[in-house]
Amino acid sequence: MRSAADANGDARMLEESLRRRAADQQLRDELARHDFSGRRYRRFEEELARYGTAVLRAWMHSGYIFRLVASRGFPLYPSAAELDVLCHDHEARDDLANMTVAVALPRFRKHALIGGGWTYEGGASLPTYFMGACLYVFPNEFRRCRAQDEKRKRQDRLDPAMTVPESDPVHDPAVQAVGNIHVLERIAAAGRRARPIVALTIDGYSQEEIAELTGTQSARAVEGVLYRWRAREKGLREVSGE
Amino acid sequence: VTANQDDRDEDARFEALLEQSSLGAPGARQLRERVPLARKLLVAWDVQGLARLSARPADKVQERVAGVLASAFGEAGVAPGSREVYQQGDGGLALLPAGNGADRPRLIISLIDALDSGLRRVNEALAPSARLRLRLALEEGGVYQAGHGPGGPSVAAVSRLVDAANVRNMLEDSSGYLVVVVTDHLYRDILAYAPERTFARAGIPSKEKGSPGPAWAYLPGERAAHVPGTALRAPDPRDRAAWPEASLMGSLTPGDRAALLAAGTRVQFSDHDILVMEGDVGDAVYVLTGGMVKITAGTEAGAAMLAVRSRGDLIGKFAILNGMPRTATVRAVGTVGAVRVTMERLSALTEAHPDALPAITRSVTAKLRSETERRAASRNRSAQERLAQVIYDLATEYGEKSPDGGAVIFLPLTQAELGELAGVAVATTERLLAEFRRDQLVQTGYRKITVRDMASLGDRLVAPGARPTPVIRTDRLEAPVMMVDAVESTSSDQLPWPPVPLSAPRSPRA
Repeated sequence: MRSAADANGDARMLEESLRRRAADQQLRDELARHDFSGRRYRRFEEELARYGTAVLRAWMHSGYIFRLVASRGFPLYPSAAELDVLCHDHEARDDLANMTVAVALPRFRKHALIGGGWTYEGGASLPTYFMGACLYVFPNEFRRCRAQDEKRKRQDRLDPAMTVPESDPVHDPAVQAVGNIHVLERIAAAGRRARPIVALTIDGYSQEEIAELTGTQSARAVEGVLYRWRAREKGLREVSGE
Repeated sequence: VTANQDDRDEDARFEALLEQSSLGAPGARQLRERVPLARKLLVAWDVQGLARLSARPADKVQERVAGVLASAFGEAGVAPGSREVYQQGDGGLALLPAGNGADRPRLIISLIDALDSGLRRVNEALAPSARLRLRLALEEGGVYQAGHGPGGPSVAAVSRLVDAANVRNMLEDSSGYLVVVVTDHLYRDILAYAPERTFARAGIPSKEKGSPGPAWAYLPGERAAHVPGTALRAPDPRDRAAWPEASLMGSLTPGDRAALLAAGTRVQFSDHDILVMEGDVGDAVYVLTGGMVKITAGTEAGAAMLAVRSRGDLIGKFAILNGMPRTATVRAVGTVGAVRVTMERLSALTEAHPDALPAITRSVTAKLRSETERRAASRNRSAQERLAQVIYDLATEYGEKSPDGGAVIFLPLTQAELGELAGVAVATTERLLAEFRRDQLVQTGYRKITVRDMASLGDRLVAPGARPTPVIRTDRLEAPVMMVDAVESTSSDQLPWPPVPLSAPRSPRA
């Protein structure tokens, strides 16, 4: 049952997002005045890159990115080990995010801005459109990393001195803690919509950020998903007598 | 100062617009803040030709480069603690504090100077093949930590710039050890206010992946190549061959020469093609890069041969200088290569390269003077002296030296044309050439004249008993006094174009 306050909030959200998109249009026009080059364009690129990098890192950390690219027709079928590396090795994650953004930025400039692919009427904000460009680039970058890893591993195998003893794939002591394994089980059990939201919440992202990261309409909506997930979990625990 | 204030206001408005846009929404802003951005001066470098060296000397090279860079940073006043240096392959990236306002040009200029002199010092002690040659790219912008090194659009831009093909070519073509290339906005923001160094625009070809757009290049010790709008094309191997010393091209500095060639369009003419038509309104000049042209002017009796010009000479400058119709017809002899430079390009060029202007003026006035000399000679000197002089000059300027002290002139000139050059009637020319042949001075053949003995031919320049006349080496003569005055009375870099209102040269027959 939706209250009048909720409806009011949604209307405010919609108004806010329209206002932001109108400003996006203004920003685009301002950048066009300088042929999408020069100091101000670089400033815009910097902020877009920071945003894109942060979003890609979060998406990779939770593995959500694989769902997004698969839904666009690029299933990457990451192995458990690959997911584990992206989850725990922030340098690997940062490198991949950085490369993806670096390749996506000129494409975005050419197609979305100069080519007019992005429009106010299209319904997406500039940053969302940019993330679309990143998702388009990501599979190639991921495969490149994968190929490099394979090559390195092959070289290491050939050179006995370089071979380190096989380490436990779950090397993070925190992950080995029983409580965390339980958390992971619970996340896996959450629905498709709740799963990334719960995972990102545990990673310490704010509700505003999660709304941004998952394309959920608003922070309020994220809060709602979390509320319903918590209520369900609480119910389950009571049933199982925990 | 007001322009700067306006700029800052504009910047503030832009930042506000960024925050109002979707990037400024609470979630997006918080996400951005997770990636801290630091403003830095980015210095990327790469060692030219290092890939060709084997592993062992490459280590040595890297070590030397690291030493040169460290001392240059020190000389430029960058404390060791305030810089981060990352080695990547044959080059690397240094992040320096971005500094504030007035210090930035000074930091960059003193860094470039320190690096240039450091490279010279190190290279002095090295064999030519071991000398260090460095490409340097500069940019200012935000940098964030990304995995194993710094990341961000500025990092990407500076890496692309240092690797751009035409930046490599510039260093390849230069005699120096360093090429510095900066992004367009760094140049506009900072270096345009440091006029003591001449940066020239150097476009990065847009077909290069993720081209960082226009850039500015500086070759210390040499004037940078001026490349309006587009990239340096692959250099024509012919342009790298030596230019005849006496020609205009030979008298320009390598930088001005490259600029002049780059300012124009490469064109080719077949035998008998007309480059310039007498009476036409001129809008361009030609720099001859290969082959030869004949210059003729109409008289009542028909076309008279005025001169021949070849590689390195400038054609069509009179009409450009005074805006009058072309004074002569220029026709290709065989295949002729040239670079066509429009009037606008030429005046832009002389603005950017003020040193080129006196050289061009000198070449114009020297040609004028040679016409005057010839006219004077036609009164005071005998037909034999005049013809000997013309052959002597042609042999000196265009002849190929033969080992026995002679020279071969490969010029498809008829005897009549040779006579016209000397102001000698056809019948007299034929008689005199026969005399020269008999005296074993010259040999004539199809499209060539062989001078058997330059020294004896030189003797014929002076009639017995007459005062010895120095050999007319027109291109090396000083310009007539009036011209020189006109040039020197104005500061050369403020000369308007056209610089000197020259009167139209008259035909020697007039």
